[in-house]
Parts: sequence; structure tokens; C-alpha cells
Amino acid sequence: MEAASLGITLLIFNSCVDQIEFPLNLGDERLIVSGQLNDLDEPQYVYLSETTSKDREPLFTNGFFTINDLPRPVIGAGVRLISDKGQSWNYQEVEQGKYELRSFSGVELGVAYHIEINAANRSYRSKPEVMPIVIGEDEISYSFDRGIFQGSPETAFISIQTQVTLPEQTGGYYLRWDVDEVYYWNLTFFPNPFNKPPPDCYVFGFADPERITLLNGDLLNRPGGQSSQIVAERVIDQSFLSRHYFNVRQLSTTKEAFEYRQKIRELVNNTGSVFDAPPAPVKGNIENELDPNEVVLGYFEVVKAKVTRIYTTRADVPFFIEEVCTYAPDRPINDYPSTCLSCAQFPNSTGITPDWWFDQ
Amino acid sequence: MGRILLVGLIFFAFISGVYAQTDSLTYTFGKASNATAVTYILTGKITDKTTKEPVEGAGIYIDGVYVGVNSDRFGTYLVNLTPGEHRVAFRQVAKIPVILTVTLYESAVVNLTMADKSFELDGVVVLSDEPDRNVRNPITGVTKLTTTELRAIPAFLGEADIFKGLQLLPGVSSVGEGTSGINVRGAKTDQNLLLMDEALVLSSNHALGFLSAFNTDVTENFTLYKGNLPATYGGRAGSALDIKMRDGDFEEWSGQVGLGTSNGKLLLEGPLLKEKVSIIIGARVSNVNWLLNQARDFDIQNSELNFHDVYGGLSWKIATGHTLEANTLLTGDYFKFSDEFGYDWANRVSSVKYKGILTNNISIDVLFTDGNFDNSFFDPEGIDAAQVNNGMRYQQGKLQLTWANEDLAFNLGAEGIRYAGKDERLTPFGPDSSAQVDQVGKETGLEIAGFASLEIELSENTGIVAGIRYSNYRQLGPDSVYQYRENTSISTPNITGVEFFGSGPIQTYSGFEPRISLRQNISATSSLKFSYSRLFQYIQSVSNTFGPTPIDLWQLSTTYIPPQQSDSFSLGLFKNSVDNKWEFSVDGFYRLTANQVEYRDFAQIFLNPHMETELVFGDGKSYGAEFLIKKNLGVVTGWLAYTYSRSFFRSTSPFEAESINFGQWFPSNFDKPHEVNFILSKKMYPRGLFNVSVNYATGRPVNAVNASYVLGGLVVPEYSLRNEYRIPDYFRVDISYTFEKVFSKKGDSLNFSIYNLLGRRNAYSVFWQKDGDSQQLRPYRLAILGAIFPSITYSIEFGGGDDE
Repeated sequence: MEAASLGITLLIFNSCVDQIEFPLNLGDERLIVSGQLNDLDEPQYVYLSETTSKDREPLFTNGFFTINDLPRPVIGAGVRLISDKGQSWNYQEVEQGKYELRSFSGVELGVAYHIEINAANRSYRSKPEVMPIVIGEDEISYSFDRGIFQGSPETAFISIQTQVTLPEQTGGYYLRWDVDEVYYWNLTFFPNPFNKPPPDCYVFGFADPERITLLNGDLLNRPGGQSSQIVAERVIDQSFLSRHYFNVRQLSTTKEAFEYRQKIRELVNNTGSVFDAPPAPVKGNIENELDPNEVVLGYFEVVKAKVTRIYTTRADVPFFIEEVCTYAPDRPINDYPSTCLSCAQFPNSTGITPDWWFDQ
Repeated sequence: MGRILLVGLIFFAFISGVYAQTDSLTYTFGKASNATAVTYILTGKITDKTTKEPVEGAGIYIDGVYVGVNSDRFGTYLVNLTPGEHRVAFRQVAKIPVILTVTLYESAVVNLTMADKSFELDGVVVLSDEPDRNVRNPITGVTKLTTTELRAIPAFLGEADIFKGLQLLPGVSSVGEGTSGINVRGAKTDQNLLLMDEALVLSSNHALGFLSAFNTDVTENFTLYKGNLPATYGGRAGSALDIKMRDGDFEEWSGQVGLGTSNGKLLLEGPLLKEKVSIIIGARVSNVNWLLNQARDFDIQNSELNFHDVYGGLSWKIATGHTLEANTLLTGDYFKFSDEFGYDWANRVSSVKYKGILTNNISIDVLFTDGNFDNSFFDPEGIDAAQVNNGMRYQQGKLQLTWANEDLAFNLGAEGIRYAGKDERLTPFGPDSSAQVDQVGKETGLEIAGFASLEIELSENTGIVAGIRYSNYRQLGPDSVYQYRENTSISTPNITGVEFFGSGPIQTYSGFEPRISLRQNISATSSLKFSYSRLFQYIQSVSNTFGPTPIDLWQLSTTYIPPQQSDSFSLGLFKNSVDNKWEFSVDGFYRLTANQVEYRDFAQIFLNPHMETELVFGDGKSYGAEFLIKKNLGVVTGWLAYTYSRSFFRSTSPFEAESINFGQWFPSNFDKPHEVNFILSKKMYPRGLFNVSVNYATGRPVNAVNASYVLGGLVVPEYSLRNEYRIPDYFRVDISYTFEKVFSKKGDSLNFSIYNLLGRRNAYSVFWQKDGDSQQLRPYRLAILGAIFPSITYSIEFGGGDDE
């Protein structure tokens, strides 16, 4: 007996990921600490906030189910940086929940630092960390492309790449790349008797924060070797109408901080697939001194850092970008997006030009 | 969706139309010119063509309309008709319809005979040689499924699959669609012993778990022991599934070539020496990449999935009562997801088995198996692009002697399995990778067991199967064992050193495993059964993923990983109708497991020389009840099963690092309290078969987001304790229609099936992600098969046997 068979299958692949309603229990409020001490000549901050559980059932608003659980800042806390040499420095609250280190002379090699936090009559302390010694070198570049970006076809996007030169040693180092961006935003120039231009507007943000580029030196065998990698990708939009900076920070961290970020990366990139690890709470390096069982979120890290910057101008962008803030005499004022009228409409913006803006 | 349903309905209407046609007989009574009455009577008697018995319940249809009249218990019928020509049809579910054209101008009598329908296709239930087996067999929780039954179940992409089929039975489930293995009565997938003709199999899945590696062209039947394993089986703490492979034809050569939706097939079988030696070779190779290309997701479009399997079996009838069988199963899989990651695994199981009848009462079975499992995964991007390989090699030997007469069977034997884990090795992937070569040695272990069992009928109403198994396991050197600080948790920071051991045992575990099953008949058609069994498990698969995957690591027991030990109890009531047409059963179970293994949060299981630091040990507890109503005979067969099943775990260590959820009981990630399976198969005269299956299950437990926080522009979810929430419930309806000899009397078949008829997006998991530029997380559902999957398959046979 011989047989031949012919199979015809009609397949309709629908999208397999969609938003749902998912009621949650009321959670405990938890302290969130996010801080970094590095060897760069820049202000050093610790951010304190607290989780909230205002809405545990996602609300259906604007076509989405949303949990209203944005953390609220912790104000009036006492924060101190302490070295294992017995020195200490205070942080001062400069904005709600944002604490800036004052009178600090710089990170010393071989010295362990930790922070102590006093908030709501409770004391917290981070595990001491010593700043690593070695770090690599970055040479960054960008490229524009049009294609599939995060599942959307025919999308114009920019890729920020780094040609990294690894430290001259095998193992014993843990690197991370953080990429932030700052761009100049042209507010609408309305004609006025004094021909006064609108104020400057610099908008700060993070490019592709979910990427979390990590490199474990223990797994590599090429001291001083070079390799290239993408550290951020981003859609081209109106932010590229003017100068747009990408600041690539290479951070040399402790192994513990590296492992912490690895876990965060697993959580953030979890898509619930068969091969994803089930998500779980991530323990940082902050503890309640009297109650070690209290869950404190976040991490205070002591890192060696190098910043490399690159910028694009409108002339570099090979794609059409619509100008949304251009003045037109017959255009009613309420037709302009609010961000064309006031820089403060951006959640993280300033009219003060960053020190390094014209360095390159 | 509407269009598909319409096409389906037209298709079924077409099929129904084709097979509703039969020859019609014409009768004329009286003349129109003499007709004076308003109505005339048509009456008569219907008898069975073979038995000559009256046919009761035949419905009368006049001009296509059922008139509400059936033949009575004497087979007689009577209807009133207006003068003129009428089409009169007599229909009874088990008989071939009779259609008459009657021209009536006076009252008339028409006696007729009806013949039984002869169905060519079997449904989802094929009555076995022992129809009262479920009542008579002392062992509870034994389920047998034949390949024929399996093929009748509507299947994903039309490919019959053992694991999907078993999941329609009470007490059997899985973590979700696309995961490997089965969970039987609340046990983990690795607690199920998988055997191919009693040879141990470690890897059994294709396509990430969507398909089983067992080609149903070469299988005969599947026996699942859901809790009480006979003493001849051991090594797993939960259940056992023995897959019986098919012998090749001893008489003549035949073959089959097919091209299906998901794979191409080849089957070849025949005698190497007529009536003495036969061979069977079955092979499948995937062709699913065209399906991936249809996906809307570009990453899936850019992915690649290949698999193959080859089975070869040789049977030699050495002499009367003496057979030698040799078989090999080879499977291979490759999966690459876009440019992000990939998996590659291969499995081989080869065995030789001798069966001999030494005297009228004594028989012997000897089995030798050699198995090999290779596994790798790779990350092709970045400076640290790397591939990790690992695997397992094992040899199994088994000897059984059986003494039996009509009332008693005594079985004595021994079994040994040597496991040798392959060194786990990391190598650079591609020329641009700077990844450092790394290697971690894996353990070797020897499991030996002796067993004896007795099956005896104490009286007509009482049967017993009692057995004892003694198992011994040794972790073998040379190997190194990590040392940990005393009175601290077994975790990496507490490592104090490494102790090296030379050849010989490093750690030994052993124990007796009693098994007993009792059957007490309450009546001729009902019985009460009780079972108890203790099982040890010395090897477990280790995974830190949502569900089991084909690349999970097999980890042997070591100094720090003690064997799992389970105690299972089962009590069931079984009842059949007198003719065994119906089966009813209620089967309760309770199992306690010690040293059950779970993973720690963010466990690093690959390239880890001290796996114990990534695991948590504790107690497992599962209990539940299975309710089954099954119809074995008739035009319509099938079953309705409801399972209440719970499965929990509790870590027992006092140390936080080795604890989950503060040592409290929490549900396993496959805990689905309520599960309902309904499957119905209707034979359509003469060569059609319609099947429908309905599945409902409670959503499985997951971790969910308690809160979120921002770290440098990154919104980080803060997750709950393990398995604190549940995903939405699961519901799916599948249908299929198969009919044979559509165009060719020699043999062809057409199958139309729709998997997930309602197109429900059943959640496999729920996860939280930031949406766009918002700083808030939103819950998303991932549905792996969240669409309607219709398929049509036509196959035609040629050559071979005679025409119908």
C-alpha cells in the first residue's frame, strides 16, 4: 500500500497578546531607593519614593487598563553617605524625593561607601560597595534606518552603537551601559513687538531604558579586545528637529549590582513566554536595620563611570519630520500642541543649557 | 471567523447531502380516478434484515418532514397520507435509512426490513477485548488509549498527538498550550515516567512542546498509570506512561507517504523474512516554517523551526513463544527565535527486548536500552554570544520472570539504570564572540532495583495486586562536592570549599517501595478499588521557566539533592451498565511527596557546578477526585470527565534563601482545581465520523505585579509572592469531520477540523509591561494559540489490498 496525502491548512494568526483586566490585591507600601555614586564630576543623587496601591483594579481609561500605582516621593528624609573610613556626607533634598550629595570631594579608590536613610522613623542602610577600578572605552556612533521597529513595519529609527574596547584583564569586571538623551525643543516663535524669541527648552529623557545592556567580564576571554554593540534604539520623531544628544554611560559595577540589573532585565523584558523565567520580587541592597524582613526596593550602587556623547542635527536625519510648532498666522493658538507653548509641559525639562552642550 | 464557520457549515452540509442519498423504492396503490377519501392510511411492520426482530423507534418522515410517528415495539407504524405521491423515509439511528416513493389512492400496507449501519471509522472510544476491564482490574487509575482512538480526537493542525489526547482524560493536564509533558493527578511533569516499550525516554517533544515526538503511524497504544504503578515500574514519584510501539507487517510490504500541515511523513513496513522477521520504519520531517511566515509578528516571521523523528523497529519470531525486538527512536529539533535566541536538542532511544515463554507457566522478559539526550541553546547576538551544550547518556537493563496460571501471576525481576550527565559546555557563538569557553562537569549515578509482585484472585469478587520494589541509588565518583558553612543555607556565599571524591559511591540512597491494589466487586457490574503505592525518584528535570520545556536539565540526586519520595492513595468506585455500553466512575486520590524540588527565584541552572544552591526542597501535596461518564458502544460514543485536582508545595528549610513564600503552602504552577473534558464522536453512515471536544479548566496560578517603580527611566514591576494569582480560565472547543472513500473506493480520506472553534484567546500567561511612553504598567495576556486553526487534509491510498 502506498499513499500520498495533501494537506491544506487555512491559518489565521491573530495577535496573541492583548491587554486584559486583572484585579489585584491591596499591596504593602514599600520604600524605593535609587541612587548612584560615581567618579564623574557631576551632582550625585539619591531618589526616594514609596509604592502606592491606590487602585488595585486596573481602570479602563483611554482605551487601556491601567493600574494607578505611580510611586509618590518620600520627602523630608535624612540621607547620609558613609565611608568605611568613618567619614560621612549629607544629602540635601533639592526636589521632592530627590536628594543631592553635598560637600563631597570625590570617590576614593578602595574605600567602601554606603548610605543611611532615616524616613518615617525607620532607618535603612545599604550594603557597602567599593568602586571598581577597571572600565572599558567607548567609541559611539549612530545609524538611521527604516524598517521593523518593535513590531511596527516601515518605522524610521536611530540605533546608537558603541565600539567598546574591553578592559585589559580577563574577568573580574561587570559593565553596564545606560543611555540618556537631551534634545533642544523649539518652542513656537510667535511674532511680538520686541521680536523676542521663546526661551530655550532642553528636554531630558532615557533612550530605550528597557534594553539594559550588560556585559559580564567573567564570561569573556579577550582582554583589550574590541566589539560593537547596540546600546539604544529609538523612533525618529520631532525631538530630532533640532540638536539631539545621546549620552552613553559605561558603568563598571560590582558583581552584586550587576546581578541586580540582570534580574531587573529579566522582569522588564518578561513577555510571559514559555521560556521566560517566572517573575519574582527582586531584592536590592537596602535593608531596614531593625527589620531585615521588610522589603525595600531599589539599589544604591558605587560605580566607575565614563560618559561619551554624540548628537544629531536635523540635517543628519534622512527622513521627513513634520514640524508641529511652526508658527502660522492663521493657526489658532489652541491648535498648537501644549509642548509648543511651554517647556514645562515636558515632565523633565529645563531652560538652562547643560554645561557640556557645546563641548563637541 | 464568520466566513470560516460558513465554509464549515457548507462543507458539512455537502458531506451530509452526499451520504443521505440511498436508493428509493416505488409503490403505487389504487387509482386516482377512484380516490374519494381525504386521507388514506399507510401502515406496515419494520423488521431487522438480519435478526428478523421488530425495529422499534424508526421515525417516519413524509416529504422530508418528520411527522412525529415512530414504529412501536412490535415494529409497526401507521400514518395518514393525502392522496397522491409522497416520499416516505424511515430512519433509525443504527439502521440504514429506507426511502419509499408511495403513490397512494387507497389505504395500503408496506412491510419493510432495515439493515444495520456498518461504520468504517472508529470513534474516540474503541471497545477493548475486555469491556469490563475498568470494573475487573484491581489497579485504579489505569487508562488505555489506542492510536485509533487518538486519531479520532480533533487535533491541532490535524496531527494526532499522544499528550494532547491524554489531556482529555480525567486527571491529566498541562501547564498550558505549547509546554512539554503532562501533569498527572497534580504531579510535576518530570514525575511522570515515560517509557517506549518499557525503555526509558527522557525527551519526548517537538516544536517546543506543541507536538509529541511519537509518530502515531508507528504506535499501537498508550497505557497511563495515574498513581498506582505496578512494582515493575519505578524511578518516578508520580505516574507512568508506557507507549506500545507497533510491529511491522509479517506478511507483506506496504508503505505510506504523506505531506501534512506540519510535517511530511514516510512509513514503510514489511517482512524481511516472511512470518519470521518484520521491520517498520516511520519518519517525519517538519514543514512548519511556512506557518511561521504567516505570522503577523515580525520576530516570528524571522524565526525558524525544524524537527524530525525516525523510528525503526525490528521484530523476530525466533521460535514459537520466543521473540526478539529491537527498536530505535531518533528525534531532533531546532528552533531559532528571530536573532535573539535558539534551541537545539536531539534524542535517541535504542532498545533490544527478548520475550520468551519457557514453560506453560513461566515466561521471561529481558530488556536492554541505550539512550542519549543532547541539548543546546544559543544566544547569537552581542560580544558574549555563546552556545551552551549539555545532555545525558544512560543505559537501562531489565529482567523479569513471570509465573502465571489462571488465578495467579507472580512476577519477579530486577532493573538497573546508569545515568551519566554530559559535561555542560559554553562555547563562543560565531567568530565575533569574545565568550570564554567554560565547562561544568555533571553527575553520574546508578539506580538499581529489585521487584516482586503478585496478582491473585482471592475470590470471584475480590482481586489483589501486591508488590514490593527495593531501589538503591548511588551518586558515583569521580566528582567534586561543594562544602557549605554549617548551620547556614546552602547558597553560594556559604561555600567553604570543595571535596573531591575518586571512583566509587559518593552518596547512596535506598528504600522499599510497597505497592498494593485491592478490588472488591459490589455487584457483577460494579466494584470498589483501593490502592497505595510508595515511589522514589532519583532524577528530576530542573527548570526556571514558566512551564516545562524540552531543554530542561535532567539533574541526578546528589549529596544535597535527596530523592523524592511519594505516598499515593486512591479509592474509586467503578460501575458499568450490563452490556458495558456505559461506564461510570469516581476515583479519589491523595499524594504526599517529600523532597519535592522547586527552583529559587532567578535560579541560574546552566553552567552551575553546584545546582543545589538554585533549588528549594520541600513537601508536595496533591489531592482530588475524577468523575467520568463514558459511552463505549453505539453510533455516538465519548465521555464527560470532571476533575477536581489540587497541587501544593511547601518549602521546609528554616533558611530564607531556601524558602518560598515564607514556608507556607502555595499552589503549584499547574494547579487547576476544576477541569471538564467532554468529547463526543458520532459515526455518520456509512463512512463518516464527526467529533467534537470541549475543554474547560481553571486558570493556572501566576505571580502578579504588586506595584511598580522607576529606575532611571525604567519602570520596574514589583511582583507578588509566588503563584498568588491566577490567569483567566481556559475554554476551548474543537471539531473535526473525517470521511473515507470519498472519491476512491480503494481508499481515501478527507479530514476537516477546526481547533479552537470559538477563537478564544486563552491565556498562557499574564505579564505586565509599560505601554508606549506611559510610566505605568499594564497587564497583558499571552495566548499561544489565540486563534481559530482550521485544517483540511486529503489523503489517498493506492496499491496494496483489493478493492472494496
